[in-house]
Amino acid sequence: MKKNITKILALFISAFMLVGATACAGKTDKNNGSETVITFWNPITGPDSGYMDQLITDFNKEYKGTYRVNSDAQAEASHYQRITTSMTDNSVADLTLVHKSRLPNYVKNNILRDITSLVGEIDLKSADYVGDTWTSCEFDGKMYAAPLDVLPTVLYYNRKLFPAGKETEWENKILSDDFTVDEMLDMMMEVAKVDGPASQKIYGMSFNYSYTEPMFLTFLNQLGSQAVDVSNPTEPTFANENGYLAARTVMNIPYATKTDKNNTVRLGQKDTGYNTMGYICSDSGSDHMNNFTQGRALFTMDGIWSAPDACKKTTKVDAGVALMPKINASANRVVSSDGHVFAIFNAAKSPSEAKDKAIVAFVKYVIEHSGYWCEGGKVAARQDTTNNTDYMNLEWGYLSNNLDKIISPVKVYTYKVITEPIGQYVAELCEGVNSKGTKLGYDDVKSQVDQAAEYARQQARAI
Amino acid sequence: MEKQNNFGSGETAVAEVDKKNNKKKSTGKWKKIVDPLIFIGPHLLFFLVFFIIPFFFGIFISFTKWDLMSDIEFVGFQNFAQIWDIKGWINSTNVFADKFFSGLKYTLYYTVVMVPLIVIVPLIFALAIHKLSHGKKFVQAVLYIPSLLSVATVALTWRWLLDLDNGVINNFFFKDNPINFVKDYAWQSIFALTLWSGVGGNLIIFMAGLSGIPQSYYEAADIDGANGWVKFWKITLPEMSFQLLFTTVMGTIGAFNVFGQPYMFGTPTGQKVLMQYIQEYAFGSSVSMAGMASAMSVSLGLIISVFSVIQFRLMRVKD
Repeated sequence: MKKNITKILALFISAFMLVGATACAGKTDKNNGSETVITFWNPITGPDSGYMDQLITDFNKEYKGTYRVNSDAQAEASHYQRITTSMTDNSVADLTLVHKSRLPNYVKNNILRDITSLVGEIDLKSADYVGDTWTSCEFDGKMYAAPLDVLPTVLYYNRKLFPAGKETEWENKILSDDFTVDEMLDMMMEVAKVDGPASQKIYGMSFNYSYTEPMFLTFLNQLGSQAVDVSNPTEPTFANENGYLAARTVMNIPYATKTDKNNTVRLGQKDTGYNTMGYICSDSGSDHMNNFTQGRALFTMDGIWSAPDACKKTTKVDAGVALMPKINASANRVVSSDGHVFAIFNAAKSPSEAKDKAIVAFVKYVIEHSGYWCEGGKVAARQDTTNNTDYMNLEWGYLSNNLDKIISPVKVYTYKVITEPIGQYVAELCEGVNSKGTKLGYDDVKSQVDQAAEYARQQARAI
Repeated sequence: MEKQNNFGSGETAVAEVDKKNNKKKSTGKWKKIVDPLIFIGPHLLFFLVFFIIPFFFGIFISFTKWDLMSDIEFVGFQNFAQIWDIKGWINSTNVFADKFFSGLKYTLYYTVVMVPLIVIVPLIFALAIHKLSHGKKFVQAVLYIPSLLSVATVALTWRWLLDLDNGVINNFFFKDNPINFVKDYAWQSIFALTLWSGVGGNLIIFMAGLSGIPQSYYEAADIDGANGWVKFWKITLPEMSFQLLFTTVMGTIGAFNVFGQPYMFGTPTGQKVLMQYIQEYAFGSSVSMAGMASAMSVSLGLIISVFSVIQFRLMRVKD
């Protein structure tokens, strides 16, 4: 009897483990009676996640009994990791939100579904969209995604740290088309408080050391260049004078140095070393956004998605949003960007007509409410959003009227592979590669950019 | 009559008994096979599905070019040739070799520092706690609690504590001259947090080992006039050799596979460990290079095997 009980127990445990393993393999999509349920994977986990959650809750309430969206958000890296790994066993979600810079590679690999007919059902038209947001989803006349928003790299500034009497002058300067990096450095110098206890330090810039790639691409775009050319996808096009200047300009910000060729014009040159990192500009090892939201920095640079946090009004912060400054007086004040798009993978789990209807209803709902969505730190991709006064009154609402200054990623399958390495190499410059610190000169910058290009070239050829 | 008939045929009865015995024997045979299977079956199944199949599939992938999306292309030893291109690494002309050897360098650095720490420090704690007359369990529990936390939780908590401008440590202890732990002392911080969270596990192993040493050995040594140092070297250490071997080998394997701490806490730019590059190539980058990642992984596996064999040989207990 005892033996039998043990056997039954062992069998029970085995069955339990198997059931557990099956359950872990992924949630299944069900039709709860007449309600069609779809799964939606997205990378919205930042300060904007509450806005997407609200939209989904509202949709599920409005379509109760007919459609239901089960959202599953993961941080960007995990989100894409999950998509690729789910590709092998056809278990990708029914609907996914991806960045438009990844579309060319997906389309080249033939893993996205042509959703031209669904886009037609949603009644989306090219004319309703701003800039190239529509065309970045269109390949050979077919739509492989539905555009949602635009994600530019921006400069956040804290009005509370403007010197008394210069509030209007500085605000106008920062927002004008002529605002340059050198002028920004001057402002940083004027505001930075480097004396006294470290806890009372005020930085001119709380530098985002993990954001050097978009900074570099922005300065490159301002000089009229791109990182890669469509005609030769495996060849980076930034290992040249424009690329060196862009990298040096990014590097000069943490060192508070102006853009002369030999790095001799260092601001506030003093024996105390005030011009080095950690004084005028924050050092790496410090949370850039935390410094900014604590009112300890005049500027910081980040994606527009940080706006809900950065622009929260407090006693120490009254933040504004501007485009990144110009690399020099003759450049155009444009910024690099990306954007979210809705897409359906061929490897979506058990697609059906009923699910398609639910997808159409949901995408239509989100796009119709894109004004609300963009309140969560996005620039609207649709023309009609400019009618939404709530959104347009936000600090970044005005950017929807400036979409000609927001540059989209190059529509080429190697774009991400080519652009990713430069971020790391420029970050090394910013942190004083090989402990050279402030002695970094033109040749060091050239060598780093050339290495990044070589790296990008080899990776692009290997895929 | 019937009864007589039943008992009358002696041959039939013997045959029936034989039949029953044979049946019992064969049932016994089956029982011998089935019973253990019931117990080890679930583990075998999991071992097969989550270890054996991925293990051989990983080796297969290392000989291919695959982005997890398109068809698998067999490329032979090409991936291995790329990552083991020593000339390309020295001259910085081969990116894949550069990353592989750079990753290996920092992995080795972490292993060389961390393994002695994660063995010696818990051993010292275990010896000290063993001597305590009161509060043994309490101290043990305090030291063990961090082991219950996930690597991500530990790394992120330490990251926030050590933040340059807003971290608690700098704001309390180094208010006027804050220390940039995250940039200037990143590796030291990683060693500290790993030790803090990992000391408890090995401590329990050593405590168990210490309590298994017969007290009579020490008493005999006392009679012979041995001092504490001699007792430690001649009795404690030899008696703990299995625990030391186990913690050293497991610690080395764990250290070679380190990922969570440097990934979550952050290392200085360009100082990633090999597992970070493997993760990047497999999933972290925009386009997966699963073949290259697998080749790095297989190479790391071979390196770990070599180190483990060396450690076993050096520390093997000779009866």
